[in-house]
Amino acid sequence: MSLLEVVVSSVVLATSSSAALGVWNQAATEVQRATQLDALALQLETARISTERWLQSDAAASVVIDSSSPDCRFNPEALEAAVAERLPLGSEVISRWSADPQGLGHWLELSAPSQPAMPPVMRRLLFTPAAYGLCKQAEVRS
Amino acid sequence: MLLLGSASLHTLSLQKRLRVHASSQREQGADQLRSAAQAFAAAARGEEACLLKWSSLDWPAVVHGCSGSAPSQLSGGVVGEMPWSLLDWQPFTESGQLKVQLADGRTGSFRLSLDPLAPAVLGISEVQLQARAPQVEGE
Repeated sequence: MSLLEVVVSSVVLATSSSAALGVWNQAATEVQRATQLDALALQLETARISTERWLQSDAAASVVIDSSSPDCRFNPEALEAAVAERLPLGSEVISRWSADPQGLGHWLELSAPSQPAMPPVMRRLLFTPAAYGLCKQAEVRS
Repeated sequence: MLLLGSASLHTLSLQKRLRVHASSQREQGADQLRSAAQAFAAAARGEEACLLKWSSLDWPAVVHGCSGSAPSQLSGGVVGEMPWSLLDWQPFTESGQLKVQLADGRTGSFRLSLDPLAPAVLGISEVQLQARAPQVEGE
């Protein structure tokens, strides 16, 4: 093998190794991001299921309904406080309740803090007292 | 070989990211369907609760037996800027099968627990996603 061949093959090997390492690094970053997104999505799903399960429980009925309203509505402060206090929301999960403009119920927005180069992870669901039989229980109590 | 191996790994990582994105889209669609089912339960109160005893196909005929009820209240609406419509409601003894569709064609069904003593919703099951139907005409 001549000196020229050795030099050329060395250059080709160095270039391809460098390119391969670059692609490898990029792939590793992508895998890490996707794994993080997966973990965050799982935390939000767990928070959603926990909220739903709790609203189905008898404990919720006596706490979350606004007894002063004739229309069977959630008491937003009680709802927010009860969910924040009793549910095991992941440390990275931010929950926010807001009233539905049509008065149907309350929207729960679950999100994770945005991180660089990652799409925002968010869930948004409507919860209504009637869907959990809470209106009927409120009527019985009153 | 090294370059080819890295390219394969990169393809796999992109596939994983696409899978996460698709899963996120599916969950958001499911959330909108869940919200529509919650809106149905909220509407099925008062005068409209009487309609829960009947199949949605029978509502036009039984509306006189459910005085003051308006089937249109249960037939659709808008939740979070997403229009939804009722595809079917089938009541059984202590439960009912609800099928709703979003304006973008996504469809889901739910089993609703019903009070055996009076027409009222007591609970909603997890959504069963169904194949996306053709987009609703006019939406």
